[in-house]
Amino acid sequence: MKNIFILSLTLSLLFSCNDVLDEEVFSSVTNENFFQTENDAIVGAIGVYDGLQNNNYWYQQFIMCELLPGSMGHFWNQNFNTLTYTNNTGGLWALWEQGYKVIGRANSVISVLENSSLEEDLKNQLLGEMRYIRGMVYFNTVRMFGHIPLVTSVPESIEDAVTPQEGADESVYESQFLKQVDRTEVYNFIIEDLLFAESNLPVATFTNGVDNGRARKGSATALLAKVYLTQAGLQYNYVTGTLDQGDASKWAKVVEKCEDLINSGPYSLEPNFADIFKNENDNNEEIIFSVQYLESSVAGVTGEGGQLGARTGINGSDITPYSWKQVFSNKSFFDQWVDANGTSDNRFSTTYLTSYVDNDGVVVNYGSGNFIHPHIWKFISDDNNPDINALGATDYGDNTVYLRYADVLLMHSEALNEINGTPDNNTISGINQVRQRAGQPLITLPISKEDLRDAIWNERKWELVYEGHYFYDCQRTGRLKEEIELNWDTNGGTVRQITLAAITDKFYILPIHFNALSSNSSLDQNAGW
Amino acid sequence: MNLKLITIFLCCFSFAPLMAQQTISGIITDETKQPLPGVNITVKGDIIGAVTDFDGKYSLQISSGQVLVFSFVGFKTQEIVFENQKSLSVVMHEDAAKLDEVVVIGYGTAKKSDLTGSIASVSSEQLTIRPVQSIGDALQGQATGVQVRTNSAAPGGSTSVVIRGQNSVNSSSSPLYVLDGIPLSNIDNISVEDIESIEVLKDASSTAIYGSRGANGVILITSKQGKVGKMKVSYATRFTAQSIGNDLNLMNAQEFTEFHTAWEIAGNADPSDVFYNGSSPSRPSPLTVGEGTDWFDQITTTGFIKNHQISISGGSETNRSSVSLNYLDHEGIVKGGSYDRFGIRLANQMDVTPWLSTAVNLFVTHENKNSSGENTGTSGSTGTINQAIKMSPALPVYNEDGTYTANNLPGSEGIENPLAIVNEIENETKNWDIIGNFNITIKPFKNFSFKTSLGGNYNNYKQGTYNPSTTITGGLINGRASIENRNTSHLVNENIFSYNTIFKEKHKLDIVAGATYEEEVYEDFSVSATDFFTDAFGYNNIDSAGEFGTPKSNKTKWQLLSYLGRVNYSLDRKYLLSASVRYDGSSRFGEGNKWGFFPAASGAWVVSSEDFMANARNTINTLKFRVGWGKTGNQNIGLYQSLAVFGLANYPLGDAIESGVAASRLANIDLRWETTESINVGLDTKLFNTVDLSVDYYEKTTTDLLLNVSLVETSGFANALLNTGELQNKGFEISADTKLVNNKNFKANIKTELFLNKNEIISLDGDATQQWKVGESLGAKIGYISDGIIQNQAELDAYSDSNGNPINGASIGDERAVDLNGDDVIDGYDQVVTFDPNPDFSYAIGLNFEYKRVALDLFFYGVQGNQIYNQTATYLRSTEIIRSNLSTDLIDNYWTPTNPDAKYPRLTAPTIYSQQRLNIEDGSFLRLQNIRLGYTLPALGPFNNASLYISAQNVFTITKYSGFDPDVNSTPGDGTFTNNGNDSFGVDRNAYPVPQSFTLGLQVNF
Repeated sequence: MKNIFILSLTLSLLFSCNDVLDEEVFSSVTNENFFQTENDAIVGAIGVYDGLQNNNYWYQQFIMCELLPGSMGHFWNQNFNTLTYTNNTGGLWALWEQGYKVIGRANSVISVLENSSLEEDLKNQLLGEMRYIRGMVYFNTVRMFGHIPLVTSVPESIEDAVTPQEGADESVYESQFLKQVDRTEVYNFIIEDLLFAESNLPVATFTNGVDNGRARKGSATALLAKVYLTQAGLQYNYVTGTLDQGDASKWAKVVEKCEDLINSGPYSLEPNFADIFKNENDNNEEIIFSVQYLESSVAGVTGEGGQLGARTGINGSDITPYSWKQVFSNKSFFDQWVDANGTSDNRFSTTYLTSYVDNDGVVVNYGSGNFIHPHIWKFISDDNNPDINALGATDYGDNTVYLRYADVLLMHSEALNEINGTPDNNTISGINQVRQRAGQPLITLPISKEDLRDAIWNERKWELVYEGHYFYDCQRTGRLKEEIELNWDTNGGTVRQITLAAITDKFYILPIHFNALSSNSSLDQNAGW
Repeated sequence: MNLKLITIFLCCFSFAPLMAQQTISGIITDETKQPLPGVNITVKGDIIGAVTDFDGKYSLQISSGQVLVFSFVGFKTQEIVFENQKSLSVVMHEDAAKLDEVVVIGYGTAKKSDLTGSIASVSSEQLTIRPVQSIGDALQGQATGVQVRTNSAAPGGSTSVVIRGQNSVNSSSSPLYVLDGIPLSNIDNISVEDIESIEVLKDASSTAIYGSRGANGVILITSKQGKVGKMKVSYATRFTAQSIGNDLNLMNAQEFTEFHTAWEIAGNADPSDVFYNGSSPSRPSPLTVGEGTDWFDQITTTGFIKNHQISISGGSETNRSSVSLNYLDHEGIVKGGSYDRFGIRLANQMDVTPWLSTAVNLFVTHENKNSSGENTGTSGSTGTINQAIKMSPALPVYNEDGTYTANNLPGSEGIENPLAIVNEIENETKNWDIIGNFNITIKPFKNFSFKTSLGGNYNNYKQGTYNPSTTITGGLINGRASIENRNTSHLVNENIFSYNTIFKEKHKLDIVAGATYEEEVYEDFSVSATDFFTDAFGYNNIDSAGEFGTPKSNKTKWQLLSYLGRVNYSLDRKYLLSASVRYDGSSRFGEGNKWGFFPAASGAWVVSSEDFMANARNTINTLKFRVGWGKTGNQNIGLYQSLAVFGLANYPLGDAIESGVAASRLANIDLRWETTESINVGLDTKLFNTVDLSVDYYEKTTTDLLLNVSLVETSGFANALLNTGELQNKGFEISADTKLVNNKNFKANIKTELFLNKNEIISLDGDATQQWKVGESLGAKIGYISDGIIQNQAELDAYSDSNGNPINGASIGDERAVDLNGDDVIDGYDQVVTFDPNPDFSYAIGLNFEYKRVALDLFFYGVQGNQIYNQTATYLRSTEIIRSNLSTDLIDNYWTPTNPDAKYPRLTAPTIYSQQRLNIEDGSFLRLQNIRLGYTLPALGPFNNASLYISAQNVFTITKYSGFDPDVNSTPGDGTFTNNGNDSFGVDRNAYPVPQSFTLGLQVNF
């Protein structure tokens, strides 16, 4: 008996020390074993880029920016198409939530970097990249939702991230994760981030390698120009629901930033419009910032692929084997495009697909079946060749271009025109470079300020359509209702389910999603929604 | 009472036939010569009888040659022919197989009559009455309070078992399975024929000894063991044929093309521009297309199940063994899906010396499963069922050149031909499972024993898939292969002391104390590749590929260390008390929260053993009240949940992929045990020697609910596992087993069970998007409600905002969503709870008739008051966008100005507002689950006996549900509303059709 007690005691004691219950981590990165070294910060920075790569985020940006004003139609009963979106429309949640996810990742790496002993140049460069991305995402979020919380650091503990209980003290809602701040405050923060990025980032080199796709000095400069351009334009008053005048003093800053970029390079227009978007010509000299995707044939089945090809391709056709039947060009917008530029415009066959040759050598023209409408072709680079490298609908390699040089040239012309009384040669230089490449006749002097304003507006439409600028351009110029009416399509393209009379100013801003309102009861919904 | 009874008996006597009667008397005692009060004495074939008094004495009138029957609960019934004895004293022998059958409880055994908790026992006869593939299936309807739902009726498909309602939202609600002492999470591959008995521990007073894993109930499974005696050999076989039970009623080609055309025109398409315009063979005109292809018919077939089992058992006093071999082969009703299983079992017990014995239990199982469908198998959003629904009925199966047609239905173009999936795509899983346990028991002196055991299980899972170049998914990339390997090793060590004693004859004491340790290590590795120069290798020569995906590997580990103890005390076998504790330490929780303490106490009062009940024992044969309280925990959460985790977040720069990481979870060092405190009151009684009745009421309150709540999204984190909130389950269980007739030649028995459970979320803090609703049941979901279809302009005008614009752009013929807050817009604020998958009650009725050698069994099973979200119908019966074949229910049944009373809104109407009206359905059903007719052959030659049976399963179902089958449960994690595990409860998502089966079986014993 004694022996047994000893035996059992030993057995029990064997296990009684607490070490036995330590969690052993083998395959995950946890706070136990991460953010200890300099390399961790570098790897963390890549994680922030990865957050930016979210396919749904850019798809929602894409359809919101294009369906809402009406350059596109959608085969599904998409709310941005029917204009029946509400605070419970799923896409809005992706735009809001994913944005904050990227901001959160950036905040986390920024705080690690700021306290790191990394060599100063590398540290500031990485900080610049992170602050560029944070600024860029805030810029999207503030333009879409207006009145937003400005989150600048990571939650210190999980309590910071938990929804306050009902009846919680009001002071709880002072937390940066909950409190909405004035739009100006957000813009000041964006500008601060971008100015830091501008002065700390290196100049782009376009040498193919790991630097391709990273934010560079010019990315920050161009985005600053765009931020100022937006500030100079109309602002939706989220309290009263009216469109307020912008800050005209910003026009000069737009010019300043555009000229920095135009004069000091290294960007230039890609001579051939079609080459801007080609997969094999990724990160060319016209690209100022783009979100990177990689098809699998290059890197195995990686999950680094994009989806825009599948969104815009023709389902079941020989040329886009992996595709979803989703978006196509709106017929009335297409007609306007062709009326204004003709089909011999150098941009036409890259912007639109109106016919293709199938595997049997038969020419298939648009007009029936799967191919009722012309399709958007900017994001499927291997024109008239099957994109055979893609392994699936979420595996296209084409990047999402966020900023390119043509945009800067057009911003330059627009800002100068707004500042100057009468357009001069400098003012029309930007738009003419764009028109020249397109094969369009150049604008000549004299031209009235108003006519030039319209010409620049139209040029932006024809040049940049489907690249996620249309809605934002309508927003800052107050042209939204006019454009919706112009693009009103009775041929099944845009299927608006509301009347033109129901299109009020509230469409200048998106409603804050129901989920966000549920998680934070102190949020004020934008006026009109 | 006593007087009344006596009067009744006197009356009996007075009406007894007047024969030459004599008086007989005597004393009835048990084996220890103690007099037994309350023993029933009847005269066979007559209505007279008597009951022994307090001193065990009886007397009655009887004629010569009549047979006296002595019966008493817990004792063997004796029949003695009256041969004019003056007195007849009888010694009653305890019937081990009856009342005092030994029941397995946690870390020990107990006599059934001594139980204080709520424990259901299921015998091997009950388990095998239906031809089932798994223990989960066999348990359905056999134990009250145990809900068994079929996750998939596919070959090798699983069931989910929930005991007394769901306790937990995010951590699993499945019970702990303990097979011969080895805790397991899954027992689907154990042959039912190898099981001696199953005990379901339902209340906390029984399960608290399993502490942190007891909250969802514990199912103890005991395998067959060798018994002393000559070798017994038995062979059982059965053959089952299965056919598809129900149909989705899809349109044929003519119906579909006509409907599709009407829909396109309703969507403003030019009539010359419609898809089915006869312009090519794949776009036929409705006028010429005919019936087309019935894709369901193409992919379904007759299923077969073959099952063989050989068992050998026997042994000497000191060495007893039982071995068996089983084989199961299942060809599913959806082509391409099959499952076979081969199992060997060994059980051996050796008494090495009088004080030392050893036991070994070993299960070795190999499973081989072929799943039709690419990756997700048959059901789900990419399964074969889904593809068959999405395939255009206007397409033939093959092109003229013999290749498979590809779908051209707009919106679902290019999806794989379902026949190509079932015929061409390989998706094989192979699984080796070894479960073993070796233990040594030492009995150094009287009443004391020490048992140490070492056991565990090892699982090797391998999945291989190959999409050949003849398929769409494999075609453009010259074949795609993937291989995944998973290994799990689970080690269990238990050291248990037991001390049993009886002192002063009345006091019985059982003490158990012990320590246990468990750990589990999991590893996986997977690789995929494309671009094969031949399809001949399948996935078996992956190095011949031209392109490789990134290999992946992963390793995890958890540990659990526990101390436990229990005291059972019985006074005079009338007053029973039990108390247990368990102290559990789990690696899953953060520092400082690893340990949990789980106490329990229960008591019972055997009223029928009281003296004052002696004379009532004729009517109330037994009566026991039970009450129990206990605390249990739940640690069934994912690993590493308290730590902040960074996920891989790679990004391509240039043409190279850079490694990146990003925080995917915030640390929650406060993460701790979820605790369930429960009380149980119950009674067990046997009445009139015919009815066994058990009634239980319970309340379970789960606090520190482990809930994966959504976080404030501006934090950058989507959700986190927190201890927040409180959940309550209350319920009743009633079971009755009644012997209606019990003659030598004819027996009739009815067994009924009723189970009611109400589940309610009491409080929840911090759930940002509030997907869980306080005051509602788990699984309840919110949505819009509709009050019908907008019939005309006047109704549309009434459904407009202050500016005269229709609410949310509605048109005539659209669903009229109810604007609950009256703000002229239908948005998030207009949602209410529209869906509750929890039944009000479930019930089972088993009927058993035996006439001589023929036995007939019927088993009914029903669920009442639950809802099913028919997700399949969201595209089968929606015309917002047509991307699949449709239900024939739509034909001439959608709103048009001339058909205003139609069920469905106008063509192209938005679907979101009609979910509640059209797709959330009543899921109540009553099913004749099984009918079985058996015949036992007389002993013949070497056969001790043999029995033959035929049976049919899923014979009929009474339900209003429109899908394949109301007994649905989408695979957990395949969540629809969100991706939370328990969220898919009650969602029908292209579920595998539940077959009707017909079985022929034979059992022979040598």
